[in-house]
Amino acid sequence: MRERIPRMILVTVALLLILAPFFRADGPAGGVLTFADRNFSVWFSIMAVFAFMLGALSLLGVHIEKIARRRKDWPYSLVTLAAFVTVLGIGLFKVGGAPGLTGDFAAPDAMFTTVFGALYAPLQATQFALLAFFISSAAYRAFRVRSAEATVLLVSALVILLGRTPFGTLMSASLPPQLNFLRLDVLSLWIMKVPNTAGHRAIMIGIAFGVVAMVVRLLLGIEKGPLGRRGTR
Amino acid sequence: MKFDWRVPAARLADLDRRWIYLVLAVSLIATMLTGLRFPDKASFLVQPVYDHVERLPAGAVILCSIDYSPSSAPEVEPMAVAITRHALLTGHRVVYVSLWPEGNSLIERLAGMIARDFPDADEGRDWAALGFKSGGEMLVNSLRRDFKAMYPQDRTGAATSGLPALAGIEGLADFGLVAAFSAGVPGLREWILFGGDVTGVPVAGACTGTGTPQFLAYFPQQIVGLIGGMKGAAEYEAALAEGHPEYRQPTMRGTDNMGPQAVAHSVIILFIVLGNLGMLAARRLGNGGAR
Repeated sequence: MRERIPRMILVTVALLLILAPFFRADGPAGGVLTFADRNFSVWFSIMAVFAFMLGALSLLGVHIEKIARRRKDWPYSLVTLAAFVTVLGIGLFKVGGAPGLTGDFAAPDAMFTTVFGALYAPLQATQFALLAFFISSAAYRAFRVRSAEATVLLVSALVILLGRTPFGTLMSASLPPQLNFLRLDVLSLWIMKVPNTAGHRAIMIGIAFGVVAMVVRLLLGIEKGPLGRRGTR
Repeated sequence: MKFDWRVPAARLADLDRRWIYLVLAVSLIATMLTGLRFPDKASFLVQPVYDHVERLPAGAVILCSIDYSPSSAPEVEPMAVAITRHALLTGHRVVYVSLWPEGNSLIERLAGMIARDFPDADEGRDWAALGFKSGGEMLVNSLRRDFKAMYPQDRTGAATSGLPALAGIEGLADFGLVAAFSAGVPGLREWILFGGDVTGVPVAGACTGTGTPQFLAYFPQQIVGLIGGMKGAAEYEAALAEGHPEYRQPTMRGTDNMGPQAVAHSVIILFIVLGNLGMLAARRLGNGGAR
């Protein structure tokens, strides 16, 4: 029973959602399907909110336990908790902005906006900007002419790097019109649009087949992982 | 003793990474200080988005989904600014939503831009900010039939049922364009698969440079066009500056940031070339080339 009821719910919801787009709302089966299509998505969105709460509780649990047991690097957990509680409080109580729980926490005069703009945004941007330095160093070491495959990779990388900058356009602008396809900006777009797209489409179609297979396995009860049981039958 | 060029050249194969960091930092700072700018032109990926906005009937509603965070904002935000400006310049209405929790604060920044550069644009009439909602693809799915049920109020607390900015909007298909400014999941892919493909609403992609290759597979059947990375933003700004010369006056962040990016790319290329020359020199010396 513990397994059957969740599977019945899963099969019912899945079939209704799969069928809904294929039927008109004013058709014979339209009423039920439209109701399911409209409401199941809304219910999912509501449940997704609770996932945020679960995430917050999990974060609190992990870090409180780490501090209580004085595990390695526990002071960082203290900083995490302090930041979490402070920002949550500022957002919930609209400190500095419109009072009450119904106000806009992101209003221009709210303290949340100050925290976001003066702390969170610059910190995230700084972290991301540092990637440029690591990528430069990694590219310098990785792109070497060691084999035929590595050479193809190197040439493609150079064409894309140059083609995505105005330098690439300027460098190859003097080519005659019949050699237009050799212009670096044209060549870089061709590499991205043709060989890259072919590879990506193949991967995406492969993943799509995998998802369909997984759904069929779930519906037939072969796959039980999401229902709380490990493994397959 | 005879000078052998291969000995100093071989050293290039194994430079200390701090030299790379130093040269890159100096180049970037110098470029930013000089304000170096390059002319740009819309490519076949960006031009269709511009043309689509131009062709929309006056008063059409463009749904902008702000699905990025501050880390990717320097790359994606200029696109959101450019499309917002384009829409307001051509008399369209703009509605902001977000699939990311950071969206509300980032929409606030766009609202600040509108208040500064379009003082005549009224919130509620010409544009509306509906903010973040959880649910990702299922949220997009539920917007198909009843948009206002999922967003009963805008950020000011006004009922969306009475907002002129949303007049004529029942479901997703009633929008003239969905512009997804995306830096990850959920984002552009969800808008394509659960929005555009199902309802037929035109979807325009705007994503980070690293996201561009994966979304090219959807062009041109499933997306109108793709504004990819800083280069894409600069291209859109170039198209806008050409089509609407009045746009030239305010800041063009995509174009401004392309200077430093172009120089950074050139520095990386320079080091790749030096590294390979060093490796070849080391091979000639007989030590197989340093890593």
